[in-house]
Amino acid sequence: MALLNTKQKLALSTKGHKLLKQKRDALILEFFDVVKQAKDLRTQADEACITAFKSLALSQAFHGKAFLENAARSAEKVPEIEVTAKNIMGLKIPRIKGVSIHRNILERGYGVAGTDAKFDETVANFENALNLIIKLAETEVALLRLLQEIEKTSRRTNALEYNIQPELRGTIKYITLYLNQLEAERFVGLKLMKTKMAKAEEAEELAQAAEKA
Amino acid sequence: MSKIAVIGDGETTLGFGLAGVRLCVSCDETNANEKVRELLANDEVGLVIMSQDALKWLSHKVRKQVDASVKPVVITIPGRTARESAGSAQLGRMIKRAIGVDLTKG
Repeated sequence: MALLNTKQKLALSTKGHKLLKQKRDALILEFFDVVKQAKDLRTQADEACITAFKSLALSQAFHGKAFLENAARSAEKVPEIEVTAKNIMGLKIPRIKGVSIHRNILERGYGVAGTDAKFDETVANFENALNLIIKLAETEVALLRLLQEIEKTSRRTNALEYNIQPELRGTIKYITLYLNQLEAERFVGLKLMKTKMAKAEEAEELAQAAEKA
Repeated sequence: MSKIAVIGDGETTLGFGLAGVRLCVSCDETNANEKVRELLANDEVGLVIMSQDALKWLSHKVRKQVDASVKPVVITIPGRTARESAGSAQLGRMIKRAIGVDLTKG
């Protein structure tokens, strides 16, 4: 009974191991795609940020810090993000969408008078950078989630392969050995009995023959 | 709908403030840890944009939290002084831990 149970467990764990391995491979494949995307986006976003900061420095030199801070406070439309979920191999990955990132001049809120084209450019640069950063955020969250899941899955497959399966195999071996031993003992016992009985019969026959004679 | 937050030195927050971001937190070496923790604990925030300098100011523990945080997700950007990004290095570290090979190089 115990032997059958353990055998069943072993079969189940082998099946599970195979499935988990497939899951890990699929996750890693997905991961490679996302890594490529993230790398490209990362360089783009970095460049956008650097240009934005450069133009900010120029604007600041031109208008002064107080003016810029004032303009920043008067922004009318506030960019926000919307988060929905996407499913990869039972793993929920958020999709992030930026809302009202690019605004027209009126929506930016500061007065047209007293600002110049450079200033508009600075703001546009930062909007652009923000847009890229939001895209980057989506891919990076996906990466993080995938990484965590890959780690978890590989830990599970390893646990099955190197810990649980050998243990089950050991148990099966032990039980089979014990059963074999029991059988051998019984067999020997039966043989002994048989020879004893045969001897007894022989002796009886001899005795009967002696009586007749 | 969740909000976007910016944390970093005055220049960084000013720039993204111009782009319309409302939750701008200026910090320096002394209070970076608390400010970042506050942002991570805030439920309304979905995305934190952090300058590289601010990342440097964080203690090891908080930086680990930042690395693993999914909501809000934290994106580091090169600050006004930086020329190359630390973000890809951070990513490389995580990849190496999970798969064993650094894919971002080469």
